Amino acid sequence: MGIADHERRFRHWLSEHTGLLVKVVRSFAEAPADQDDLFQEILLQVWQSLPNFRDDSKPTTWLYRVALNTALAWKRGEKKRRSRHGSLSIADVAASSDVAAPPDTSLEAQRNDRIVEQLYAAIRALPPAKRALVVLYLDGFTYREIADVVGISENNVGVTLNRIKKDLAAAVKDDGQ
Amino acid sequence: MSLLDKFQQAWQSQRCAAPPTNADDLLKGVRRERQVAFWADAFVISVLVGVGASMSRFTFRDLHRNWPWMIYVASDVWVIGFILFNRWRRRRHAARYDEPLLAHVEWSIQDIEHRMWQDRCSLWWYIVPLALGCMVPPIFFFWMEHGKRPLAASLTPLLVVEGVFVAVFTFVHLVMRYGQRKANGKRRLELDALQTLRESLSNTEE
Repeated sequence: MGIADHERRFRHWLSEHTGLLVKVVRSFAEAPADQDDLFQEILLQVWQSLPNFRDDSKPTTWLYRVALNTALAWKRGEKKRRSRHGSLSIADVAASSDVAAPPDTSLEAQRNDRIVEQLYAAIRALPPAKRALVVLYLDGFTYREIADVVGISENNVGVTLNRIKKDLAAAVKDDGQ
Repeated sequence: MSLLDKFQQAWQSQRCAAPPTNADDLLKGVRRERQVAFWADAFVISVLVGVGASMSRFTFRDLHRNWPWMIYVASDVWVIGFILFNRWRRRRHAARYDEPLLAHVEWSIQDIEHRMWQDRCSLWWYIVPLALGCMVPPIFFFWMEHGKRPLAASLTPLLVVEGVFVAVFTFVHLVMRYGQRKANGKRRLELDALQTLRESLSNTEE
């Protein structure tokens, strides 16, 4: 892949799949400064890993792998504070999001926002390996795809997710009442 | 619709997918980081190459008399080769972030174990070869010259030179050991975390 293709693909994916990256970031980091830091780290790893991308996997699957691996590495202590000057941050994404689409204030949207916030809180309380499974599950990945991203058996994914789903339902329902 | 379906629906409809306006600054930052890493290695290697080249030039001016300095040149070449080999090895064997999570964790464990092993070997692979390259030639010169001057007159400069080299290389070794101890403390913690993560990924149902 030439440098021009590399840059073009990076920019395209950044505009198409930022939401995916933000979900991973918010599932692994709570404080805004940590979220910015992890977001920078993920973008950096996406950029550096991009020459290895082969068209045999879906961009979303590939991006999830990079983002989750980076989040797990970041979580276990390789935190590098990146200067926010001149870099993209969650705040930038939120700002551009606000420009692109005015906030939806309907009751349904507010309820969704509340559920999502509770989900993030419940996910952050899980051990790191399980967080990865839940994020993929919530984004609609099949067990086969989750097994492919995580590198464990489909059966293992199913058993683990069944247990986590119950915990998640209990945590979010309880909080929501 | 089940509760979990509602969770999935809410999750997938959350508002966070808007594109940021430009990635130029990030790319600039990445390029700058790469350049810094490259130039740091390039500086060390160019100093070693420069010293090695001038020593070779000096030696070949009068090979019959200056041949012991070739020992230094050989040690210099060894260290340069070792730095380049390590760079190549690290790039080739670095943990890839687009691997499945479990494979990435396995790679990361191997990578950290390799770095810890490499640190343990730095005395023998970096410091001892360079120290021998600097300290052996003066002994040969002393041996070649002895008998031409009084023993005290030729032995004193040898002892001074060897003493300075011993002090310098001991200092470098101690500084490196201090740095390695600090780094290894963090690495051990990371290794423990990685091993726990591997366990929990391998037995996620537990």
